[in-house]
Amino acid sequence: MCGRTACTLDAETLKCVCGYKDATGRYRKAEWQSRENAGRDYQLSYNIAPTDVIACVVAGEHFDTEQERVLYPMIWGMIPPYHKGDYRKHNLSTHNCRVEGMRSSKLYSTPLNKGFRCVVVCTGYFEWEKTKEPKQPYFFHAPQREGVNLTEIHKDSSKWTEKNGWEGVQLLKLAGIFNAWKSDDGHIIYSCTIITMEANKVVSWMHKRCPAILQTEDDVSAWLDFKRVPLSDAVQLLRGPTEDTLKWYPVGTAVNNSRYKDEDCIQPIKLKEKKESGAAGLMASWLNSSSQTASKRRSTDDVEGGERTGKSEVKRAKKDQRG
Amino acid sequence: MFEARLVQSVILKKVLEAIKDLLTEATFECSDCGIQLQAMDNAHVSLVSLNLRSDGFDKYRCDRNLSMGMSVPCMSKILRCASSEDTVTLRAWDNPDTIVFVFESPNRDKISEYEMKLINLDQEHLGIPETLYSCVVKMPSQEFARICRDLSQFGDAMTIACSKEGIKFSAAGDYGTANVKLAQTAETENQEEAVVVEMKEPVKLTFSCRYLNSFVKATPLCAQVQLSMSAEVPLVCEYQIGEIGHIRYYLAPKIDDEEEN
Repeated sequence: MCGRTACTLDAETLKCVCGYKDATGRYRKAEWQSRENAGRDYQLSYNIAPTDVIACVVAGEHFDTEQERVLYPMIWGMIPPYHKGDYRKHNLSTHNCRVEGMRSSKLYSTPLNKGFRCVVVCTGYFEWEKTKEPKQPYFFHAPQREGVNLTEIHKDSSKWTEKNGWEGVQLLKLAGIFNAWKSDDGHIIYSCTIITMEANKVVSWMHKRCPAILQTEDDVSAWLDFKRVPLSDAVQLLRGPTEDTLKWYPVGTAVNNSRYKDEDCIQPIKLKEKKESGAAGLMASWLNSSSQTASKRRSTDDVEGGERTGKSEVKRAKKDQRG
Repeated sequence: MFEARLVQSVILKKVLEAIKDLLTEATFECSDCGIQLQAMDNAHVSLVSLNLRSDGFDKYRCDRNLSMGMSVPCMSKILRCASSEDTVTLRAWDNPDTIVFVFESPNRDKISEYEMKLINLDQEHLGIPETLYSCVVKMPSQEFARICRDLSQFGDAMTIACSKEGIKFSAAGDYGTANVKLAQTAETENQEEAVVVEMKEPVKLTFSCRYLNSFVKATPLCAQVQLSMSAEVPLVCEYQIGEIGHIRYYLAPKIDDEEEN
């Protein structure tokens, strides 16, 4: 399954990350398009749930442009073409599409046969380990270059050059299908689904299913290139992740609430070792409880702590000024 | 310079056996008063506190305080090269990089020297709080070792309950349960065999068998073991080391996962 993602880049930076190499060997940014789309535009977010808007890359041919790639914000969860009324109220769970049945599915086979293949881009996705109580969320993301801080917001397109392309944060590129839906009053809304497949041994410890991740630039190109790569070939691109193409870490349970959008959704946490953690905590607090040496140490920590709070106060004050 | 000589190297051999299950490296603090070691296991659930007083050594000299980080497995290997009858001398210079172990056979016709590299360790001075314990039990160390071994076959954890009647050890697991009760012994002449319970309040605590089974590796050091317990503080499991000092193990009780949060 793949029912929650995060995308921490603004539109301008996304255009760089989703860029491509043109025939002359130069990098080009993807073109950003968003028409009416029921007034739902893309917003970067630490916690994106189905019915929210996610950024999708599609071939330019779908949108009458000479650019090879277009970024288009779409509603996550495919709106069935036959649906009438409020686009949010089709009551179907269409944010995932099983690779096994998609070519025979009524809902997905039509757009697939039309070549409506997209790539959903995100900083990463969340999955919950359900054997633990409470269930433990993890954040899955692409391997990063040294020095890249995954948890911060990326609004900096300076890491892109025509020569080298994008050299900043790496995104996960999930294979998806999109479709256009026409509302009663004639508005067109684009919506999409993320293809899922059986989890291989890299991720099966977590969940039986995982999203189909396009692992190389060639895979991305071929998946998007509906004119030259037939569906039967494109499906072969959907392979399970390897330990080199997918990384993960545990995060706090704040992300469980889809309305909670703060940055700590993707902040790594340290999991307690299950058995002895309580005992270790007790030991630590007991050792710290009295004794001179311990209290000496504690006070140096306190000083450091004090400085830290001091700094953050300054920061806050600056923020206030700006505000 | 630092020099400490023990006629009975067997004591040091047993001390190493008693800590090597729990510690991979440790800082030995040497001062005028003797040699001290305090270290926690990797999981930070148990604490080992070793104290060897200077007056317990046959010869002891420590010109300035030294903290020597040692690899416990390496030190254990070296001490295994000593025969039980050998005399052992530890020697190091001020600001040392290495420590030398010298083993001399009783008639001094064989002298072996082993030099071990010291390691840099982060020094963590752990303050052990003074604690008044609700129950202090003295019992034969072999009996305790046997109970720990037997009960660990039934479960990962062992409950020790102490009341005025005596002390009860119990474990429960998939196969069934095990209970061992020891009554206080009447006043006996054989102190080594005595079970003595000093109790202010009854106590019932649960501990990981794995750690207890590491602690009882100290059994050869002393015929009696002393267990001190209070609710919600670590158990102390103490063995005297002849006339020279003691080794104490501290183990935090297990707490339910619910209480953990």
